[in-house]
Amino acid sequence: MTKSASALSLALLLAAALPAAAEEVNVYTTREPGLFAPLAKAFTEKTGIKVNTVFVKDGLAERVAAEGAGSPADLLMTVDVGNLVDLADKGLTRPLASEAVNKLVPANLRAADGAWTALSMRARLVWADRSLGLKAITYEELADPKWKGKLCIRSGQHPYNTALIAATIAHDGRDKTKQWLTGVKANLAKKPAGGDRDVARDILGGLCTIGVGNSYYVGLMRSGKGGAEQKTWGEAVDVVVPTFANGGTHVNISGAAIARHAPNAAAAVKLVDYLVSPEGQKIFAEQNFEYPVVAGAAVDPIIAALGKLTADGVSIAEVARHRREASLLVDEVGFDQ
Amino acid sequence: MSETPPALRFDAVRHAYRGREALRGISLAVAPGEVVALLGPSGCGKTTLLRVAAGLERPTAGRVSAAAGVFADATTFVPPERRGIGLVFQDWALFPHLDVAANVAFGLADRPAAARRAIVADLLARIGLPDRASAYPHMLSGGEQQRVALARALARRPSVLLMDEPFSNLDQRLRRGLRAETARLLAETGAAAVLVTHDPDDAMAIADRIALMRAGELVQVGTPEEIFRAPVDRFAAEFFTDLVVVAATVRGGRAETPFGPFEAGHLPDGPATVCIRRDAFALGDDDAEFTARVVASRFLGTHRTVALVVDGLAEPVEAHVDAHLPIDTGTRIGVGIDRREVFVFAQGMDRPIG
Amino acid sequence: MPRRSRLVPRPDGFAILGAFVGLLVVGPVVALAIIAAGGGDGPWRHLFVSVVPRATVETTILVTGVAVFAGVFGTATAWLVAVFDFPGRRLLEPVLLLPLAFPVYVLAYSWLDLMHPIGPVQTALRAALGYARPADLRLPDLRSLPGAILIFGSALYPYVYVSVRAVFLSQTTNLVEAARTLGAGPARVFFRVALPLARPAIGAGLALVVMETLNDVGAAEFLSVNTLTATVYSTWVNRGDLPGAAQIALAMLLFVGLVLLLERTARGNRGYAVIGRGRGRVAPIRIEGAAGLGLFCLGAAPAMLGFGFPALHLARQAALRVAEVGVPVEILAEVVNTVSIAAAATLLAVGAALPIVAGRRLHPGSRIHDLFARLSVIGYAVPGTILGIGLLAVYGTIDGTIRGAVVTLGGTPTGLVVSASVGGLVLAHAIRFFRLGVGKIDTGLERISPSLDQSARMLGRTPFGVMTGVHLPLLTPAMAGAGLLLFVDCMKELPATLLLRPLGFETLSTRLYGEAARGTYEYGALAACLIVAFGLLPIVAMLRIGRRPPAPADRGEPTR
Repeated sequence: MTKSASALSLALLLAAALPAAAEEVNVYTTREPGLFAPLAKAFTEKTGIKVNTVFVKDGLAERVAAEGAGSPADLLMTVDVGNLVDLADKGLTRPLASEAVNKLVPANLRAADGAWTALSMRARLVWADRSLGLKAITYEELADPKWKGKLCIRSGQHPYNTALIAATIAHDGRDKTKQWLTGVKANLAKKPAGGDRDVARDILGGLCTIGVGNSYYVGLMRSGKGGAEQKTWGEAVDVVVPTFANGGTHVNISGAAIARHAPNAAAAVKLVDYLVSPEGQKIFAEQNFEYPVVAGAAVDPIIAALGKLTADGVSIAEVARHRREASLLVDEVGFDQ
Repeated sequence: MSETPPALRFDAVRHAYRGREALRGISLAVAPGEVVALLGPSGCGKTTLLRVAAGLERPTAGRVSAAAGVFADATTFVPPERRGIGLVFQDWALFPHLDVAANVAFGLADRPAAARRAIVADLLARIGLPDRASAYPHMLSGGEQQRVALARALARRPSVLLMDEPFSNLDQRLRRGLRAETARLLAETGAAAVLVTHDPDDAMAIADRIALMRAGELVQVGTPEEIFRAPVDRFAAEFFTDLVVVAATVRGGRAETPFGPFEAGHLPDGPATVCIRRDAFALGDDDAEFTARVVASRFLGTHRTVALVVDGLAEPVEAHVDAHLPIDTGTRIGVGIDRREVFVFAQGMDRPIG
Repeated sequence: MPRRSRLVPRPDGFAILGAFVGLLVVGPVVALAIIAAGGGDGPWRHLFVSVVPRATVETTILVTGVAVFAGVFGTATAWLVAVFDFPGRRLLEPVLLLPLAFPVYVLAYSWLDLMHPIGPVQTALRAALGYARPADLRLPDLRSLPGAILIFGSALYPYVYVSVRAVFLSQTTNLVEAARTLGAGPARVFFRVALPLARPAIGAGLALVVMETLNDVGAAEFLSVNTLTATVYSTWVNRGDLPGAAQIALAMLLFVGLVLLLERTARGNRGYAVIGRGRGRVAPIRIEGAAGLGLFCLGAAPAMLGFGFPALHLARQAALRVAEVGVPVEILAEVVNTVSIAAAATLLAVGAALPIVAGRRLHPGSRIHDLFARLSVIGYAVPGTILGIGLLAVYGTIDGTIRGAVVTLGGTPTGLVVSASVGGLVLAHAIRFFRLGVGKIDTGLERISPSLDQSARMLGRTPFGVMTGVHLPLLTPAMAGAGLLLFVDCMKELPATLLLRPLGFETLSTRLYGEAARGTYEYGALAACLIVAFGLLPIVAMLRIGRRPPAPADRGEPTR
């Protein structure tokens, strides 16, 4: 009751666009509330700045654009590099003037013009039925006919997969990638469906023996944070850290940008500073099982146990450039059909 | 009745719905070819009795049977579709999505197509609608719909035809024509018929016998003339015509009233009710039995209605008299009474209608 | 006075309100058209070659399959409970409605949990048959077109059941009895009389089923069916091509409009009206013993598919999570938010629907009133997400205009007035489900004799007075029915809420989605249970209204 009332009055306050009080920051995020809430809570405890959040799964860019100059959004948080690049391309961001970011985040994990920065990383991994005893694999080998009818993966159009395909294009060129993708499609045990977590469940259910999923899902499942059943799912599969034949492991990022019309830009920068601080990075690692972007920050033991991560050398900006092409390829080979 | 088994027979039939008794032990037999009218006021149970006969309601006790066997009793219940009984609904219930021919042919699914066509053509000719075969119900007038419904019910040559208020949705003029036509059709097919009506004119015009009902019970069963001439109580008398009703006292076989004494040999001494049909009164000094003052008079074509103030009665009495007699209001005049139109009922037999 | 058909009416209140509602509803569609026009034909060509044909085929199969399933089960169950009497029938009557409370995507989640190779059903089956590993016993996967048809069908058949049951219980009673006295057994009565007469009601129910199926994204995606709407969604979100998505969405809207027009025309040609002469139920055909039990199981099957089993599963999941982590404190606020939004949107939609529908009736032949009434319902024909994007643009434009005006007048620039407001969210719900209100009230109005309007006019009432003095009191049951249906659908709404809600404002469905999107949807089980539970209350109320005697104008009983 009080919450809805406060939400209502907050909306009214914002509508009146009072000169922004310094002790607030408004976050529009495509990250699920369960992931962002611990970070926001810790930040408020440390700085006294209140964090208001709205979780907009899809259409964050459309919403900020439509709200225009009156938008209360300060910080825009999203997963997948493509989404961040899109925000910048649509002119919805302003340069992020943060010394901490410039100092701590490697240059290949933030926009050259300062439009956005990565906050955490996740790797695209291969999950396999224990009975296979799989120890190592390359992304290219996913197209090997020996996996025919044995592979599970979510929709080819999902950003996690288009980014992987885009990275493949960056490595091997469009034609070879199309060939590879056709091979992968031929190996599918079933039509792509659901999320990464369903891949683990399907392997456990004997629907397939090998699959592709993100690193933090492993942590989520194996830690038991997703519930007791999921712990068994996570433990029932072997997790292999794959690489490109001529490179490292494909990683994607979650990141943030300051909204162009941010009424509390200064507070937003403080929040970003906090997120890339050792404390913030620790929460990313422990709560969300993500890889930190700041050198030297710790990784959660469950993730560390997967083995050393050597991120692929192709820059994520390069990956973002091939994203559209990857999406077209997915349709061309009829991957989801 | 003769020895041939009745076409339809009710034995001590009861029916209750949610604790409310609509039928309280009805016994009635309908002879083959006979037309019986169930007559009574709204809510007397006559429609329920019809629905029990059709198999649309299940009696709670008693037995319904026909020449072919038992329809319903404690152990048996024959569903409506297997009773071979026709029913004409009050709103005729013509299928709006079927044309006239298809409506009439609906019950003939088991006949070959040629036979079906022949029966339909024959019936449509009989009801005078040979060229309306492909019309839809909503295109027909009320009278035409009624005739189609009748033809549809007769198509299966039912042994008994049930009709629920078949004429009530029609205007007076149409009604008279259709009554005659329905009677003719029934006679031609030889079906026994039971019709439900609240209109004594309908009942008298078409029925061989009338079963008068009140509150779930039969009051009197007989030919129209028997019931009209010898009603068993005030209700039965009053259902056919308006009455002048006065309280009386019986002493030594005579009921004393302000109109004079009436023969009441069948009653013991004590209070009674005297009912006089309004057209029993005759004005004029010949055979006058009492005198009265005329306070109002109105000419109504077939008769004249007059208001008479009678000594000993608080209210004026309304009587229907010969229209040809010139009457001046205010005059005092002798009044005679036709004693065949006077009924004396004991206490308990004088419940009015409703 | 004869009234000629006129395009420009006298500016009466009905037309003004109609114009307002019409503009509100058409606004998002116009916004979509502008977005679509900005796309050029490049992406469209790609979509048309590699995506749309396949999606069209899958959509057609899904919609046809669901329509057949819902039509057959909806009509059959309505017939079963209306005509037969068997042990448990009175229980079955309300239970058959319950799937209405389930959002389709929640149903899909629950069923996959239940039927997955490592779910309880297959695990038990393997144990019983002595199989050790899931791979040894492969059953068909629910994530397929047939599986989707089954799940959508069992979630949506109640729309048909509700409208057909009303017909079987009242309007066809006499005709069914007539057919029986003419020697027709139950089968012949059903196919020759009841079914043809129920066709308009089946059509009306199926229109809702088809639109709910067409507009779903969550369940279709989860069950790996590439419907057109899923394509619209993935074209926007994954292919990053909003104009292309808008183009497909508009093409679909055009198609839905055509289908509705056809349905309307087909109905218009029906030269008769089935006039209710209900004496209540037809005397039921009693079926006892094993056959009766069989009928009960037959009737209970769709309700168990659409409600029983998944509800039990959800309740168990919720209980497990509550035992594990307790009840989240925010859930109370979320319940309040959800119920308030649903209630406010319901009041708004029902309140606006009456003058729209009554306005059309009170101005016979007026094309403008008719046009507004037709336009007002297109929100239901647009997927929630797409409507949300259109509304974002509309609200943003309104806010921008206000801001511009304030600045021009020298004031401090305003923030958001409509965008990201509770009011905007309520309006979005009302627009989305307006059709449900209009449809039910329209049906209710059809049963009120026009001579009542005319006599009220002769007695000195204005058209507005006729609406408030005659229609409103007689329509109370119809409006309550409309409100309940609206409320249930608002409770279940997700995509528009997700896109349009204010900062910090969560509802039960956004919480559920927040967990589901993260892959921990078991933690959303409690929210899902609450959505279903609050959806059940109005459904129970709906039944009670259905049982009340009809409005006086309904009765065909002549006075004797």
